[in-house]
Amino acid sequence: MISSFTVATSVEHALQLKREAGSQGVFLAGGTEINRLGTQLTGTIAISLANLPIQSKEKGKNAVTIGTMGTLQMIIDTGFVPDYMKVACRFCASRTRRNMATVGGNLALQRDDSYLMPTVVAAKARLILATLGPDGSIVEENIPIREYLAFKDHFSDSLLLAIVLNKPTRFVSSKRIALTEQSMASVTVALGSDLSSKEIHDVRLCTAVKGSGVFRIPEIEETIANGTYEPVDEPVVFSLPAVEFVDDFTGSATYKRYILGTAIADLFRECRAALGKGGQT
Amino acid sequence: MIIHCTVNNRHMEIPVEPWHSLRTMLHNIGCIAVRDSDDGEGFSGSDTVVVNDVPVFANLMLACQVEGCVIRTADDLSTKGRLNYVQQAMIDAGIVQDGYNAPQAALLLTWLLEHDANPTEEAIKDVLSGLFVRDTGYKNYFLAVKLARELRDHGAYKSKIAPEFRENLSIVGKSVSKIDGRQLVAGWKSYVEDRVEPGACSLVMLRSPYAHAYVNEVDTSEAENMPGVVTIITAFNCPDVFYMSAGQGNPEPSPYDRRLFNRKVRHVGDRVAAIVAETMEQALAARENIKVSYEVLPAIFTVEEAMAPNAPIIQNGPAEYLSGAPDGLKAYNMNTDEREGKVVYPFPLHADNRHNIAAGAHGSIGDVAAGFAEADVVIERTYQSSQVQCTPSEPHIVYTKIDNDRLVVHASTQVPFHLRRIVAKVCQIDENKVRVIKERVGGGYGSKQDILIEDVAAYATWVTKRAILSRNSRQEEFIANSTRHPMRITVKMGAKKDGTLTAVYMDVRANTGPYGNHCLTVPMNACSKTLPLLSCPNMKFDVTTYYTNIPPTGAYQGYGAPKGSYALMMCMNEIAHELGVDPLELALKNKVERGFMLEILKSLGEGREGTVVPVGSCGLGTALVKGANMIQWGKHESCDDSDWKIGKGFAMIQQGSGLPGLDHSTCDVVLNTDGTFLIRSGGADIGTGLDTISAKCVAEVMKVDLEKISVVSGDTDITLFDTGSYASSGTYFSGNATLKAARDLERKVLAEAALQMDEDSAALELRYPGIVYSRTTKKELDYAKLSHDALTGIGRGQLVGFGSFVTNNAAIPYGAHFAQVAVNVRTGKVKVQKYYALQDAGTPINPELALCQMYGASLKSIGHSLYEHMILDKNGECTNADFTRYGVPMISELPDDFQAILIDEDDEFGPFGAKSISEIATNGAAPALANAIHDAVGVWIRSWPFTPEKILRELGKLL
Ligand SMILES: Cc1cc2nc3c(=O)[nH]c(=O)nc-3n(C[C@H](O)[C@H](O)[C@H](O)COP(=O)(O)OP(=O)(O)OC[C@H]3O[C@@H](n4cnc5c(N)ncnc54)[C@H](O)[C@@H]3O)c2cc1C
Ligand code: FES
Repeated sequence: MISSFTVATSVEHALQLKREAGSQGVFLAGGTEINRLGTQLTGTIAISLANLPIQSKEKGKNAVTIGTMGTLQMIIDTGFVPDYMKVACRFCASRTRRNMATVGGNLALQRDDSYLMPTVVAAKARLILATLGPDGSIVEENIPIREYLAFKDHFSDSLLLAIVLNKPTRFVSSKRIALTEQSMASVTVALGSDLSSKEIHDVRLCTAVKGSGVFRIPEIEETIANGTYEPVDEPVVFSLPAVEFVDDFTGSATYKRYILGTAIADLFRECRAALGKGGQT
Repeated sequence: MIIHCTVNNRHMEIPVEPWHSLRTMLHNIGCIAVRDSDDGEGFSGSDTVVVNDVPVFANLMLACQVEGCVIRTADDLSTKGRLNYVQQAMIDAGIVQDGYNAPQAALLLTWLLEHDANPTEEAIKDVLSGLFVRDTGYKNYFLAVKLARELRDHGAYKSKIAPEFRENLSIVGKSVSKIDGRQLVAGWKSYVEDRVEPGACSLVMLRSPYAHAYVNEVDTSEAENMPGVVTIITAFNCPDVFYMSAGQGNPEPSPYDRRLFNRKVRHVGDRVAAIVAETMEQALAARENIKVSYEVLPAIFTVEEAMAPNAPIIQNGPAEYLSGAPDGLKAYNMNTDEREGKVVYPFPLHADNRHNIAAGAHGSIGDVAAGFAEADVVIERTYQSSQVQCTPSEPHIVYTKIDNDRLVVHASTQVPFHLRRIVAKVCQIDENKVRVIKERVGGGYGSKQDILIEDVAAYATWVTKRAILSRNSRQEEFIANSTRHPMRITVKMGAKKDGTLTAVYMDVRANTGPYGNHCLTVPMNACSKTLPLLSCPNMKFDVTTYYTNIPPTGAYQGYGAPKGSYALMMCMNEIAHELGVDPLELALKNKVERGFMLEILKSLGEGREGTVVPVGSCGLGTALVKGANMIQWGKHESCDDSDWKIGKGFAMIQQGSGLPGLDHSTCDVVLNTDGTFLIRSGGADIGTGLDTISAKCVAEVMKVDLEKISVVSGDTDITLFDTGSYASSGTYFSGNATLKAARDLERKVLAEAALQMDEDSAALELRYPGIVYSRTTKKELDYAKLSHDALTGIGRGQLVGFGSFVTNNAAIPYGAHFAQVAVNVRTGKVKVQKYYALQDAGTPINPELALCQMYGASLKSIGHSLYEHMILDKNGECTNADFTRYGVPMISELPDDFQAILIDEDDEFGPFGAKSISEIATNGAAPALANAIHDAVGVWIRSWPFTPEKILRELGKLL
């Protein structure tokens, strides 16, 4: 339960407040996770990010930059944001919740049914984040999103400022598999690749699997990139020995394994079709 | 801290705490339309408000976040009692039924229309995507927007709202604004939560973490001494009264197998202690300090486990009979543990509680063995239904208080009079000491036929004399509520080569969970609302209900019929395939029609012998033929993407209209002193429009406008007895009682007028807008003068019409539902492309409300068939006890083409020819969808829900 609430006046102020609050501090963005029933977040000192200049969306020559306080709905409403990002934002199927939920909050959570994480990893997005150095000065970093995914704990006190989606457009496509549009997803998966050389290369495949987490699948990225990937065909159950799939209310481990394999095969076919159309997604 | 903001155009400074949600803040300043139906889960949208012109969930925002903001709530849409155009259009489109989320829908649609004057269907879907609506199935929200635009642009509607029925009637069968629509859509005080007075105590329940355990000790000493604690009730200080929670006719066809608190807990979430304290926080804090010593017992969760030799016995106490005790009872009752309590049977239910059998029923017509012997094909198939939750938007809630030294219960209930009886019994007081006031009900669907929280709160108020609010959390709604009984139904069916059925046998094994409320009647409905669809001469059924440790079950819209219908209609389809006969042909060949004697009903009475009646008005054949045309039955559809296969299916359906021979309704209609009317109906309008039906019956007979009529209903002090709203009885029973009362009043008015006008009453008639007219003298007497003169001290007193309705005549609604699905053979996903619900409701008194109920019930049962399922872990704990994990259908799950069609049939017994409408609509989806899935991909899905995973398994895709 939140016991204190402060509106941060600057990025530095937000980081200072967080340092002072220690493990009790929590950046408050849209609040849809922090304030929801059943949240696992335990922070009690809310540091509101509402007044920070991290909401804007900018279209540069080679990149689109989205401030982390942008809500999922704002992104859908912004013309120049790539469609694949809008598709991922729509994975949050409740418009009212999309009006509140922010990109920053979503990425920071890295839930095992994350709306955005698989897509931004597949898109090879970069993340701009700020940390307070030991001397209290702000250190701003621009890192590949995969690094943020791989070393989550390292960034736990960082403030995410913006996400940068590079152009020229990569092929990026994603799928969310759930019983109803608003049920929790058993699997969310995205595939991205560079098609500019008329070949599939620079592949990123990232998935969120309920009960297993969010992770890249390098072994399949590689087979797709080197042309040895075989779309899994029925009724073979896709094998991914490194991942432990679990049974839960979204489906059995076997189902999740199967449906992930099917989704990847579908994404791969889409990617190949895009290649055929000259890389248009 | 102080928040400065603008709320509904008023600049305000509002003190808040850092942890207050925006909803708490708004509620505290009187914005009662900002409700909550999921405890802050962020799913259902009852808390939707607009902040700085953006719709948000007020529960997911801290009050502190709105400093300097402009806030708009649904409370502000109407001005000085005048509704805005969207609110009015919503009422007229028929979508304001239980109304709990109607203000929020009005707010969202108003906001949408302000930003987009002519929104597309997609835009409407988008803006409503965060709103849960269980009652009316979303479909007519599109109509509401269309009507709103017409009202805005032309000042009147151009579109037809719904079909009209009965040219000879002026208001019955026509669309008019539902009489409680204004208060519901505007968010005015309506529900139990709106009646709670300052200073009321809170009641919270300590619940069992174990599925099956003896409660050896409950140490409340520490908790009792905590601040604010008023009382704690446990098995060790509650009355030793055995009763049961089902609000059914007395004597109830259910065993009395529980007390307020028991020495044995029988499911995870079972009651252990009730804590009453001055505030909710204090009650919750005290709950943490109660120490319970459990003796854990092995638990069982399925019918198979309950049947197994040496199975743990759930209700292992001695059996007592209030009538019809069997021989050998003494021996039967040997070796029991007092912690088990006992099971009291009002009359024999074919039970054997010491072998987990809660009830049984058996019956047959013809010679089934001979029927199977003469068949060319015999098949036997087993179908399994799952445990699903009613999920009314408004959870179970009750506010109890003492007034005039009597117990007053403000209840959200379907059964005010049964509630009064059960509460009086539990409190060990007479019924005259109890007043039950049924408030507007924010969704019931059967679950509010059960007395689930009122018993404890009422008892606590009676002993403490304190006013108490008790409200289930959404989690409690899942684990300590009534749900659909899971059932395993085996159907054996024999048929001749030409498709004539020769014999049908249904073996129903139902799982009642820990207690036996509705344990006979719900499972029996699996047979009694399905077998009478068939003209087959040889039919037999066995129904057995078992106790287990799953969360409680109970009444749920449709009772057992959706499960029986799933099994029987699927089996008919399966045998049609075996025979190579078109399933539609098979249905047409074996269905009943008007005049067919329903002999099977004899053995299907609810605890007594049933009455054999002929089929009366029956739109079954028309529904089948019309539905088949609509869906282009027999035409194969294909999809460009070869992964998607398309198939069609249908099911015949029926229900009842109340329980002839068991139900009873009474009503009186008072002519007020100014010539207006007050209807006092015992019936319980649970949002479906029963009060509007009552008003229309009186308006039609007395020839006045609806505005001249007010309705009070379901208040046990003011209105006369009614069995309540269940078993589809409202229109038929309560409606008929009101109609009889109206006709009685008509007679009395004519007699009084004859005296006052000095005319022969045979020459008089009632005429619009409320006058008595003499055909001989052409003189007129208006009701105001008539009533005034009757009450002047020299008159003959107030005119009151009285109606009491009982019957043995059945008014059975019939119908057929058709579905077209697309199934993805690689992912198992099912898309409902078309869903057509065709039903004969006799004369639909409120056609627009009837259609919306068909949409609501159909979508709900599509949800049950495809998505919903309470999942228990190995310890019996429900792992998906919230909306997000459980998976109710939202607007995004609407079938692409969704149509409800009313088949015109006039019934001889219903009020103005009306029959019931909504329960029946839950019976079609499961079989229609399962048959369509088979048509698409060739697999029979014989258990609910038809998840992609299950379909993939049947397709052999999952190893
Ligand atoms: C019913 C329901 C269902 C949901 N289903 C899903 C789902 O399927 N998938 C899913 O991914 N999410 C889901 N969510 C969670 C949530 O709505 C989204 O993840 C949302 O995007 C979180 O954003 P927010 O702005 O509301 O975060 P907040 O609640 O404000 O914050 C969430 C976390 O992110 C941190 N944070 C926020 N902004 C920053 C920042 N700029 N820098 C660093 N840390 C930051 C906060 O400190 C906090 O720890 C669901 C929520 C609800 C209520
Ligand atoms: S959080 Fe929205 S209704 Fe409860």
